[in-house]
Amino acid sequence: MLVSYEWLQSYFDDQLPEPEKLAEMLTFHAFEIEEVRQAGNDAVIDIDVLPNRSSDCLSHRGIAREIATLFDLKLKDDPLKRAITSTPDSNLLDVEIQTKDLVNRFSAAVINGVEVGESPEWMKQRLEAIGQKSINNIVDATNYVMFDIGQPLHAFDRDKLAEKDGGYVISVRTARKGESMTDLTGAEHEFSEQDLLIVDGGSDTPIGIAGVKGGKSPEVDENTTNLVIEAANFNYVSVRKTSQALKLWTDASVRFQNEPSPELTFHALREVVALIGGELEGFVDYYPKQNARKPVSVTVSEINSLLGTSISDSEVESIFNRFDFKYQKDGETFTVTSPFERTDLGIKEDLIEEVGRVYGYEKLSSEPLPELGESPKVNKAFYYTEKVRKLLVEQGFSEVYTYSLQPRGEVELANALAADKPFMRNNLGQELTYTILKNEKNAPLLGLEDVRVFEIGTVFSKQEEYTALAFGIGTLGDKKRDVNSETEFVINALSEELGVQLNNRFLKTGEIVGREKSVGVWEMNFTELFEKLPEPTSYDVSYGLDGTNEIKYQPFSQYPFVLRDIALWCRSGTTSEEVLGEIKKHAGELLVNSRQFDEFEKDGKVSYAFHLVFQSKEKTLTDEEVNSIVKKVEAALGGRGWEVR
Amino acid sequence: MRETPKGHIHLLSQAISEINAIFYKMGFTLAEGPEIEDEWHNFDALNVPPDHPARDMQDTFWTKEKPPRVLRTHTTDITIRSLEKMAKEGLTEMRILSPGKVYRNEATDATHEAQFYQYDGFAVGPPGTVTLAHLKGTWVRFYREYLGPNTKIRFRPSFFPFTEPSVEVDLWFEAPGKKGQWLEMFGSGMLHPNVIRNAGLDPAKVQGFAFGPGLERVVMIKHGIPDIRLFHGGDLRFVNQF
Repeated sequence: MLVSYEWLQSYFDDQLPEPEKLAEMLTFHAFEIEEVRQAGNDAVIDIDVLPNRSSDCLSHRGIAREIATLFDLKLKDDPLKRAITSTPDSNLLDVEIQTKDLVNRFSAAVINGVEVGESPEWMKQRLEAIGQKSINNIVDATNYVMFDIGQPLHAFDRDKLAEKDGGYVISVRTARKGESMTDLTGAEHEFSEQDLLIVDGGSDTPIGIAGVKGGKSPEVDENTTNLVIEAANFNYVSVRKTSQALKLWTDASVRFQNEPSPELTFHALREVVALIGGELEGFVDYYPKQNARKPVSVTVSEINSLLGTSISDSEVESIFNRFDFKYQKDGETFTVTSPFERTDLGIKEDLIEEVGRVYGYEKLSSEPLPELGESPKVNKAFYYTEKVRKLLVEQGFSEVYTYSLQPRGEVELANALAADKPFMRNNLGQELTYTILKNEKNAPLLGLEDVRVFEIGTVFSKQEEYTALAFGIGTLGDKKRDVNSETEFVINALSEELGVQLNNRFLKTGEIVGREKSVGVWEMNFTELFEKLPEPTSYDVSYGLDGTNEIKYQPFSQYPFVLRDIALWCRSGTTSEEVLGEIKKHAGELLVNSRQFDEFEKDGKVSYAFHLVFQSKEKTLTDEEVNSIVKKVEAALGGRGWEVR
Repeated sequence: MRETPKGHIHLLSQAISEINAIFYKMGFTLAEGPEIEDEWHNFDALNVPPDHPARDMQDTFWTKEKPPRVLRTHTTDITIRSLEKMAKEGLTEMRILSPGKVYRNEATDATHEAQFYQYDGFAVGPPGTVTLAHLKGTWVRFYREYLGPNTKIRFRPSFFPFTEPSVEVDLWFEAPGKKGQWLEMFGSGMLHPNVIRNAGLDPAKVQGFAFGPGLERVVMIKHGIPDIRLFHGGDLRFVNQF
């Protein structure tokens, strides 16, 4: 919500601190500030008022009241403390509430003999500062009062309503099937039977969407002379549902959704009547249930034991005074009757929060939790998950996390984000297979002979969800190895470590993908497995206990890599590390990976062969560029007396 | 058999392991819960009634089942389940860390994913034993151990339906070679008495704090990772760096 600094200042005799200082105070004691910016001679502050304070603080008066509390200032003339006049009763207007449970209050003022024209300059400036367009003095006044004290208002041209027995009737009811209305901005809306409407009782036609937006037909224009001003309070759920159904979010609906106090209506009518002028004919008020303010009690001990502070009785008292709360003090017990607009203060914890934030969270000490008598329990599932991870990593597997939302499964979403992925996965193997294929092309870059990945994650069937463990091998290269025997090796290693024989009973073999590649994926119900294992007593397998990983991310190139092999003869005794070191030195940083793939001795010489991977972060390398690097390397190797083959 | 080079544990698994180790030393037990939740445990029990605007703060995936269930929008469901357990077992105190996958129906970009991880937690005990000051102390220690000694935190007032008072926690972090800055990290506060009551406990006898940080966020800060989508991409060029 945007607020004008100048508008806020008008609430105080004292000069307010600079806008940035206001913003800082609000940030650390009340609300988040999105932005502070200069707007001509004024400054505009964009405040993020949270749901619990949207009933009283979506207004300049509300923010001014907060500022008064936080800076220990007094409001010059609080509109919510001014006297209310609710008479005379109108002889011209009747109000008929047909859907009683959705209307908390319906107040209205009938005003004769107004002159529609331009708003005064000071009002135009304030509205403009907060991003509101000036329409005419009547509509502007209703908007002004809403942004000033938080009560939405609506003005109708009374003469555009249908007269009935010498007077006018406004009714409030839910829509009938097929009813529709054109709103103020010309948009047509078709209603459902849940939508609450303001209706011209004389003609039984809708003239407004309750709490949301007014209709075009009784719109105030330059010829209007007589008005009805509505100040009401509607059921917040109803306003929210209608707003969402019609996709109409307005300044009014946002306020009504957050349950402002019904006491605000007559304050707003008084303010708007004063601004508009004309002749007040009378009021109408439907207000069946007036809730008395319930006092809330809290003790200083309760405050300190929740916050962890040692705030004194007198400090608590001075904070309540800053809020201008009415209270009774009995020893260390405060019984607070908060002002009517603070509908958010219902329980003692709400008061404790008020004390805490004004006292200042920066004053909180930093207390360590006391030691517990015994060590916390070890989570069995987590223990074995960590154990299996370690085992698989030893076997060369890397862990991946894939998406739970997939094209196929047993549990379907009603509102999937991607229309092609509306199911919760019922297995890990499918996605793991794709993962292997996706990574195969980068295997040389990664220095991998085959792609070995695993995932431990939740899968969902119609009856239950459980943790699955899946691992997969994609063998590469010319010498296709037997995936099945590789897997058997892994399974035996796991069985031995866990002390449980994992056999085909647990596993379901995944797809073997054709062509020259073979990919095998095996999956098991991990929940079922670890339930059979002994209860752990400590996190001895946790890699978290080894300290912390500080490695920083390195962006990888999006450009293709180029492969070259190099083989050479050296005198026996030359180590491969020495050779590789020489290669790396002369190849430069475009050599991103290298791997020895052959070694044999013959006639007092040793042969080494390496796969080399070249890649640039900036562009696609050409064959010529790579060739020239390889030539440079070969020359350097030759210089060492080694024979490149 | 051939010699295979060692594989890599996923960075998020490493992070959960380290985080669990830090909280374990502070007395927290790790707990888990279902990813598909009933409305009660995801919303109602946590003081978020139907049709309340606070439900808009979390955009939710619903199943087509009757009655529909939700993909949990936070791991705070485990908080209420753990408190229910506490009530059943007649315990007077409890400390739980609950890392897990959560789901939000929002568009994906460099900092948002429809599925991600949180590591909720809470500590409760008799009144006065677990306070907002203890929340501060716990997190000062956590960030020191996880991110380094040059970290500090501050609280700002906020609102969540399941805590009162509620605070936003900011972290002061100095990335290597960069200027330090304040980063918004997560929401937390003292558990709302309605939540404690909904679990079957007496708020006059049980009080404490709860927190719900995002896992990827702190990991991205620690390791300088620019895009959240890297975590679930299954790309070994990412996984094998760590």
